[in-house]
Amino acid sequence: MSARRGPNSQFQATHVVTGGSMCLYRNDQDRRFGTDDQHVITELWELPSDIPDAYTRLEAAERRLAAEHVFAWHPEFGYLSPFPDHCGTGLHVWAEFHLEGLNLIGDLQPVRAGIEAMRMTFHGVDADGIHNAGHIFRIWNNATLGLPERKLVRRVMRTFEDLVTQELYARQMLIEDTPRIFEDSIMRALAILRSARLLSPWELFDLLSPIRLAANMGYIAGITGSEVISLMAAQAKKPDLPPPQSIADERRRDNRDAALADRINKRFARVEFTF
Amino acid sequence: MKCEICHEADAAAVIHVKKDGEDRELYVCKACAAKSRHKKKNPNPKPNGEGAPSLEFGDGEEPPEFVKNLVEATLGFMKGVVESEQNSRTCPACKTTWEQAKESGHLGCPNCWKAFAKNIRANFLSGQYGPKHVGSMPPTVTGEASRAYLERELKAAVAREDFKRAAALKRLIDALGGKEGQ
Repeated sequence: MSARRGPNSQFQATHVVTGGSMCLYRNDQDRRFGTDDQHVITELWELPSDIPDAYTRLEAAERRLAAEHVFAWHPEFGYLSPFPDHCGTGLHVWAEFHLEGLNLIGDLQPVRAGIEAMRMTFHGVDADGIHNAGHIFRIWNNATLGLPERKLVRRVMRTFEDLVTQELYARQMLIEDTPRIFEDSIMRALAILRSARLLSPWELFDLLSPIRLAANMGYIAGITGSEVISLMAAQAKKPDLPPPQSIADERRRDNRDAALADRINKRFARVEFTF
Repeated sequence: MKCEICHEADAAAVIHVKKDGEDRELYVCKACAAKSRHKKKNPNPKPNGEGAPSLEFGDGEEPPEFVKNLVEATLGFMKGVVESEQNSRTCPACKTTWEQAKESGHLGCPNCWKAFAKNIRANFLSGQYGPKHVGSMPPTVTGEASRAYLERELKAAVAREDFKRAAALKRLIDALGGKEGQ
């Protein structure tokens, strides 16, 4: 089967990075460290290219706060925090990425190793025995000491932009070079979503990941990308049930999974893969 | 033939010794042969020094095994002393010990950074971009927070009875210390 372009623009950065935030952590000089007393200044951003502007806003907010507080500061360690590995600028930039394309072409591990080598944390969502569920990863800078704020911001922005580019290349490669792998992952996920009799929230979260990829690329009819994202978000909010201790616990869990499966079977009955 | 060690009794045995890196045969009397065997069996030094192994070794020559062990044991002991001294270090302001801070991953107060600076450098900063802060500084350090401006703000805060802000501004003015007229 030859690869065809979907009706929507397939390769958009907003499909890969679902925004992020940046935080500055400050503590008062004359107070003991406690989690409640810490000042956290936060700014949100949508695309990696917005990060420098978000930092400018963050800087202004920090100046306003600094007019009323004496921050704990040390000439060698910079802004001090309760955590011995968090000092220096106290600036952390976070982002959430959907990396299903890299996962399907098998490049996720080398990319992860590269990101970690750049002193960044790469954290997947683990739950219900599923590791890195949904191939959604939160990435943030670990290191905050030894680089001035603007340089740190530029470095993080470049890393995030490169990651988005890698994922978009992976998606292109997937439909042009390995369409069968792409089709297989979507068809499998659709088949389970249409006919599973029990579905745990986290299994559903994992299965929705390839559907989200296909929906973003315009190869799914009957459900939109944003609906898939909100379905995933709803699953992520559900608390994990503790391991069942009794038959009653198991029954409760099965009932929850059966109700979810019924609802999802119904919703996905008319969803079509249009590749 | 006389004994080659004591030069008194008649030689009655042959022993092999290492001298200047060469194996040599010595013709010795029974008493000296017995002493030599005893030396081999019991290399530990006696209080009077008799039977003690030689501490002398030439350039490029390996030191004897017991010297190596002794050095290792001494270094290990010293390391243990230094570690236990570091672990028992206490922050004078909040009384948090390094052991507590390391276990919880949480320091007690800003002063802990000064008290545990060595330990923090050794244990926590390897994953950072550099060893020293090179970014921005708070206005109280750079002197950007103008004393005159802060005093004006303080007066205004007191006038409108905003005592929380007034206290914060007072702290800032105190932190500026002797930087009069900035």
